Parts: sequence; structure tokens; C-alpha cells
Amino acid sequence: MSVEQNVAICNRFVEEGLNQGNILAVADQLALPDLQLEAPGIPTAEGHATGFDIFKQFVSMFTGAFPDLKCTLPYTIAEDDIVAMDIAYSGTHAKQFGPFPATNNFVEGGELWYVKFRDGKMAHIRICEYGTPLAAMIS
Amino acid sequence: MTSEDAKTVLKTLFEEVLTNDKLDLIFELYAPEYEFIVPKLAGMTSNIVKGRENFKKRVIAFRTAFPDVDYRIQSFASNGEIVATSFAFTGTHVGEFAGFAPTNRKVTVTGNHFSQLKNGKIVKTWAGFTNIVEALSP
Repeated sequence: MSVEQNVAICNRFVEEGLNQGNILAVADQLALPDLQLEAPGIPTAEGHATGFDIFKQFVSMFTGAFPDLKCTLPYTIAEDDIVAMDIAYSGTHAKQFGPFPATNNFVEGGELWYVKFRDGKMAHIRICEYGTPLAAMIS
Repeated sequence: MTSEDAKTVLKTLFEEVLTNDKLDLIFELYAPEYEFIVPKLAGMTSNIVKGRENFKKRVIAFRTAFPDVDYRIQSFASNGEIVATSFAFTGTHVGEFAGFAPTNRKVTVTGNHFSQLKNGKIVKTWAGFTNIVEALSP
């Protein structure tokens, strides 16, 4: 698959998965079933759940808790089988998010996603927050 | 600047500055107006480091907490202006860091690091760790 096709997958993830809140409908078109996921606080140990399941659950929990979520991509760097994204987000914490009850705080933050592709889909995702962590803004 | 030239700057940063402690190179690699948006962890009052001297202080503080720190670039991608780096560091946590009391454990922490370059020098970095809370918690 081309670099442009990999970037298109990432753009779909941001638009359809995050902004439209449709990750459960499109996840299998974007990521492989054996997706490896690294992110703060997300277990990936074998026997718990596959990264793909955690990915779907985490994204749907996020979009559900922030119904007006808006994500943009200030920077997307793509080369070979890599797409690295700076995902800027904003939204209102209107519903429970993991252990955090709704605060109705309006939050703005950023995450760096480093994605490796295989066969035209996301195969490995490493996520890091930068700036103020989301948990600090809603607790 | 080509993508490969930009990657060379970041390779020098991770290998020579952060691992081999050649702090004088900070003044070759970074622009005077350098700005670093860091993860705001517990115990930190600000998440922006401005200027090369303040960045040097942060590197020294980091090395005090992890004297044997060894950074490895796992992968990077660039368009010539931005270099996105996937990295891991290994080090023994013997000093306080970002609110975490020393554990004396040898830890490996992974992260992502974006740097923007202009005229061959790094002008801005924004970065984060994936598992530092898990790695440094008691």
C-alpha cells in the first residue's frame, strides 16, 4: 500500500472514528485484528484482551464521554509504512470516562500517535499524551 | 533540509546528547528560541521549557534521576521539517523525577517525540511517554 493510502486510513480514523463517533462501525476497515496497542494506562498483556478490542473500547468510550469531541491533525508525517500524527482534541466532558465522572469541563489537549501499517491497515499504534494529561483536566 | 538530514540531527540528539551526555551539542542542535512542550506529570508546575539553557538544565536533571540512561531510536519518519521519533530509554531510577521518588529499579520507558526544524536547528519539540507512570510508580 502507498504512503497516501496509509494517510487516508488515518484521516478516516480521525474523521469517522473520532469526530463522528463511529469507531465500532469502521474499526475493522482501519486496523488489523492482531493490532498491537501501546498507550498510557491501557493493558496489552496477553490474556486480557487483544489490542484491537482495547482500541475499539477505548475510542468509543472517549467519543461517548465527549459528545462534542472535535479532533484535528496539525501535523501528519508519513514515510514508508509509518504515519505519525499529532492529534489535537477538544470537547466537553459530559459523561463518565473510565473512572472519571462527568465534570462538564471543556478540555483541549494533544496526543502523538505513531502508527505502523501492514497490508493497508494499522498494525501497531503507540500513543503518548503531551502537555497536560486528560486525566488532570477531568479530575 | 532533506528528511535524512533532519533525521541525522535527531540521531545526534538521542545518541550524543541524551545518551552520551555531550551537553555542549545542545547549542549546535537547537535554535536560541527553542521551545519544548513536555508531559506535565505530577509535581511539575509548567509543561513548557523555553531556551537552550533551560533545556540543558532539564537534561541534567533527567540524568541525575537516571545516571545510566540509554536512549534508543526505535523508528522515525520525517518530511524534512518535522521528525517524528519513536524511542525507548532504559535507566536506573535513582533520583526523584517529575514527582516520582526513586525506585532504584532499572526501567524501560517508551515514547513519541516530534521535533520541528528550521535552518537545520530544532526550534520546537513536543513529546510524551507511554508508560512512565506504570514504570516509576512504587
